[in-house]
Amino acid sequence: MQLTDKVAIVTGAARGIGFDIASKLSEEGATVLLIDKEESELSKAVQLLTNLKRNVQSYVLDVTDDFAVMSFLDQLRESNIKVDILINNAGISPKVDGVRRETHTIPINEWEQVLKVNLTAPFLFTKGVLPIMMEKGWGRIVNISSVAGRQASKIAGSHYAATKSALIGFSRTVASEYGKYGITVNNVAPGRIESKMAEMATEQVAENFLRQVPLGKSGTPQDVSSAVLFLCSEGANYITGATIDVNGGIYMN
Amino acid sequence: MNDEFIGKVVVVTGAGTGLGRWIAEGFAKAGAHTIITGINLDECMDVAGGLQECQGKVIARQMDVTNLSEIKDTLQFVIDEFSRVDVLVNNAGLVWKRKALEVDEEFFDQMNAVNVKGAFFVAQTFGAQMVQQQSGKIINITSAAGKLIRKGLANPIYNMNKGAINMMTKALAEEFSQYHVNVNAIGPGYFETGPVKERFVNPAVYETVIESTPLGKIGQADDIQGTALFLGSKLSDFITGQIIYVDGGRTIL
Repeated sequence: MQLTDKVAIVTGAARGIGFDIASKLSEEGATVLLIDKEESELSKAVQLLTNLKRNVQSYVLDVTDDFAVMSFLDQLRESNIKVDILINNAGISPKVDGVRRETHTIPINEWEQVLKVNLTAPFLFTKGVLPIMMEKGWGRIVNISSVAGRQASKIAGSHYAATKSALIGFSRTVASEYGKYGITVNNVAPGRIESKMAEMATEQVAENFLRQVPLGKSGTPQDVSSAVLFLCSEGANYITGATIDVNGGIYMN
Repeated sequence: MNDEFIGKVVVVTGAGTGLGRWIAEGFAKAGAHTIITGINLDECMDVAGGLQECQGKVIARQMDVTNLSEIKDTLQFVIDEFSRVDVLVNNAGLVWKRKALEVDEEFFDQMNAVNVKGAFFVAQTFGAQMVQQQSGKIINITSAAGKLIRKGLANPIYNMNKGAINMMTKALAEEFSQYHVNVNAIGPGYFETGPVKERFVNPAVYETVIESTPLGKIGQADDIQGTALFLGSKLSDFITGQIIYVDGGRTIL
């Protein structure tokens, strides 16, 4: 096991990609703190992992609630939980009947909500864990970006695309600031992955997208979590500020 | 990754020294049958000699990538021996350095013959076998120097050669995607190989490199092995046409 004695936080961990990341990290021996706002889904997720004898804890938390996030992080410090790994996975991509809003119709409150979940929350968690990681001289932060942050978004709205590009710039800069403390900060940018978020798009939208994917299929949450696990492993010790694109070739970096 | 490579057949070019040697050692130690190819058979035999305790067969083989019939013969040898090729690490390359105004036709042609033409025909030859198998992973070795140029660090022909490898990676990824053959590249920064160590004899050069590397260190064998094994494994099945920079963060600055 590669991550014995490590403590990891995964946001948006109740289902989909986030759940699979939590599962992989805990399978490798890490103690994983699963964070999600969906209480019943989260408790099911934790039950599933507990049944597999994994070391997991759950925290019901709305990541857009700055105060709640900060008091969660304070609580970690007080209880002396030393976080080694942070996976900023929680994200939203609002659609109307399976189709994105065009930019001139995006309400400002929706814009702000997307920025809060997809960008401000990763900032708050990163800010909160950096001092812990600096003390240890070791840390791994992985932000889940998107192919929508790499090229014009085909399915998600412009707010989602803006946050996913922003995460890449954020990661690069944090990586350059904290490399000297043995902390790496990288992104995984998934393309179309079988998940609840992907299912929100109409079949027509999905088909049009898949036609452009060289490997000709959607990825699975496992394809994404494998890349995340790799970035958390010793094998990726010399990679920082990078973005690993897990997209079947639709965007080639 | 565990035992995924046991029984797999891995061919590494330029494996007698440097990064190629380390990558070959990584696959051999992971249990793969590993074919150590290089222009200097003695060096390859040395590398293979040190790996005879490994679970898979480790075989040295003379192959000059500028000699198309040697490439074909090597493929035939591998097929006769193992009936398949699972991973090609297309690593052989020259790292000669000259300013543009000092480049003559001979220098240009020699660099191009190894770094571009050789790399292409190796990928084509082994790729044809993978296409026939409907499976395989090609890992090209490009360089941080294929992405960016810093003040005082231009090496025009090498920069051009590695830029060509980047586009070759994407074009082959697209063409081979329908045959379930993934093509990706690794872009190393500074690693502690022979030619780099020679340059670091000058402490000023070493200091400059360390200062411009966020992680503040030079890459070692396991740093390149981790990414090569990841890209050679099923963990990266949904990743194709990508370049992963293993450079301590150099290319983000």
